Amino acid sequence: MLNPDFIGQWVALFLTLVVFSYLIKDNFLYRLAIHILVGVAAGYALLVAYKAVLEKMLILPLLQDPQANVGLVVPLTLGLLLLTKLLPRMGWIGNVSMAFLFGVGAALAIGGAVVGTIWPQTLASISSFSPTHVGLSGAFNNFILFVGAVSALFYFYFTGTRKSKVLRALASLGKAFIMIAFGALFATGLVTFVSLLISRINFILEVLGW
Amino acid sequence: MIYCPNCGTANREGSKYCNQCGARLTPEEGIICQICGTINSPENEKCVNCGASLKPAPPPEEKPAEELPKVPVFPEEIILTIEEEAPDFLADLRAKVQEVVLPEEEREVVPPEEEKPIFIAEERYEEEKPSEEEELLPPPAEEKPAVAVEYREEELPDWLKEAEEIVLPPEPSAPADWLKEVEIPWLEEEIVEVPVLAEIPPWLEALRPVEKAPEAPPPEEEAEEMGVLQGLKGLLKPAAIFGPPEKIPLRGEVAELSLGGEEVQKLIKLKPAAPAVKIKAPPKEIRTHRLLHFILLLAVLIPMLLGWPSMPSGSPPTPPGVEKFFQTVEALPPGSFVLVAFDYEPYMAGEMESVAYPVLTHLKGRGCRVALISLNPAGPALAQALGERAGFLYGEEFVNLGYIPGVEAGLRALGTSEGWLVRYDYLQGKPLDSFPAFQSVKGLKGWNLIVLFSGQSSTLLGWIEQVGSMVEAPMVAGVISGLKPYAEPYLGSGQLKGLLGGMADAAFYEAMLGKPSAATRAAPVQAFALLIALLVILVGSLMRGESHA
Repeated sequence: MLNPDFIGQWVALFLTLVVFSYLIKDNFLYRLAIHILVGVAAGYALLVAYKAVLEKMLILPLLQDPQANVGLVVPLTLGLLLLTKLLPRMGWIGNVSMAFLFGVGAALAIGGAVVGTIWPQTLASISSFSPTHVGLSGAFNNFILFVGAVSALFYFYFTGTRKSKVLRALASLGKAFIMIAFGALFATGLVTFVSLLISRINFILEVLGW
Repeated sequence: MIYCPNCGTANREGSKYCNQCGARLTPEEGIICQICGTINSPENEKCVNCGASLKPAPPPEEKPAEELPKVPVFPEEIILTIEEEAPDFLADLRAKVQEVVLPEEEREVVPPEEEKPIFIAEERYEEEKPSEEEELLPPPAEEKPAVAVEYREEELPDWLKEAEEIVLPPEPSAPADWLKEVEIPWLEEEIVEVPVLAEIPPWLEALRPVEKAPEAPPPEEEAEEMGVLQGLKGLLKPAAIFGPPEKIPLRGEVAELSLGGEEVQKLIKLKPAAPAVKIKAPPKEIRTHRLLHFILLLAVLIPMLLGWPSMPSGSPPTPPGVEKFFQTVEALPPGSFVLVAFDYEPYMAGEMESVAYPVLTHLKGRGCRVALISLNPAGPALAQALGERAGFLYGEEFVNLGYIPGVEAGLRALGTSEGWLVRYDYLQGKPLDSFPAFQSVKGLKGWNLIVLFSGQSSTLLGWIEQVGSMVEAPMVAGVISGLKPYAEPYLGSGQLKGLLGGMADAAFYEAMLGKPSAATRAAPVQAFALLIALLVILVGSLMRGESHA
């Protein structure tokens, strides 16, 4: 009867109701639940970092087969150098590790963005307006995308004066497209939170046996 | 004034500590500087303020007057020397001056052997001739002008009396006409130094003590109108309470603030508290956001309490991303290897599990072998629970690879490593090579499909950008509703072969799969709640527009 899952369910139910109590008023129990959430998340992340990374990727391979895993000494050294950041006088030593992290991270992010996003998306944007190729709806959709992209770019054209009526009209159209995009993002965010609310209420009803 | 040896602040006489920095002003044993008055530590040889030597001058030895050394810089001998060796041009100059200035009967006729410089009053000098001891000290400065004025009144000619009032000319005046006629070679070349008032250097001027202006009487303060302090005047100092203290309390002293507080407390105790004035509370502001939260809560709760509604007939057509996703999974042959990434936070599990569960059941139905992996520390636990719920047999049908740190770097390393980047499984801690069902796949090689369940754009883009170009296996993604707009372009470009966006798309997937589950039940409720939210937004916008108008 009192198995961990059962206890966990009722603790989760209690914490869920406590969080919902914020709708009435900010209170001590609500804040307690928030602190528990933050503390548990931090503690769990620390445990996973040790068990999944330090132990399984570093310590065990080095202990079991040091010669085959001698290359792990490099990340081990860089990781130890990071600890010098705790000492103000020796903190500069950790800059080596920080430089390595930032350098590799920036290189991977930039390279991945060019190869994985910019180039493929540019190619994908070159689409046909011909109904014979993509159909009537496809041609209309591509035309709307083209107009939206160009007009949105004109909205961000700040370097020159907008004396031309055509330019001002395009900028206004671009602003409208941008607002529609923001509205769509807000709407999808709202859908997400409604989905989370449904799942929580469903959980409460299930635990209560509704 | 006592100047602080530490910061130089001028403190009142008798102060023990500096008002500015709190440094001790009177060392137990100190030496007072004879120049600036600073009290220095006994071990100091020079004053910390002005740098003057602190060594006491050697006491003058009482010697008989005749034994005192004669300083050969003092007047008598010099004057005598000047008299004896006076150049001829001086005698000529005196004669010329007398010829020009004085009438003939007043001219002084001095025998050559008694000639002396006209600026020396010999008789007076002899009268006030100091003793030999006094000769060692310079004459007091105050006496100089008096002697000069007295001399001029008695002895000076008329032409000099005009300049009587000018005791210390600020700068040398232009030579008179008569002086221009006289040629004095050495006078033209040499600079005549005129005594002027010495200028005080800036650093010394900065140390000048500033006399505080007498403080104005404090303005009449208004009495407290309410509360326990009603009727009291001038008891609280708001500036001292809410601002920085005017001065740092010294050790052993009581700060003004605490004194004020004590006074207030005493008065409070002495005077009974006045009855509290009832103030009419302002009308409660309508907490709009709380109202909206309640409306949304009821919009979700009521349909669920009344029984789960079903989707109305004539539902919209299945989104193309869902259909592609389903067809991609459906095309997998039995025994295919599928790598499934669970990259979402626990708080997103409510929606993501409704998306992932039908996909896992579909993969289970297709007889696929699934490896679960995560870029999120909490992901492996979520994946493990969902894998077991979908009915996979651990070790034979699915294995949990655990957490991969570093997002982009971790994915890159996973793709470039020859073997498993993760050497041990998440659940049992066994080497991954010991699972015979997964011997033919390592790293990112050998997979037939990669399924991404992402709740964050960073992890989704990490997989697409870093791994998409390294693997030949198709990639499909299931994301939360809010992430669907970000993922749609990758579906259009073909980098994703299928896309499930949130609970609504999951409901379509379950409908195609023929196994309705949580997403199918939740979709109508979600639609109803969104309809209510849309109405609230419209009404709120209209009300706001009316209030603005």
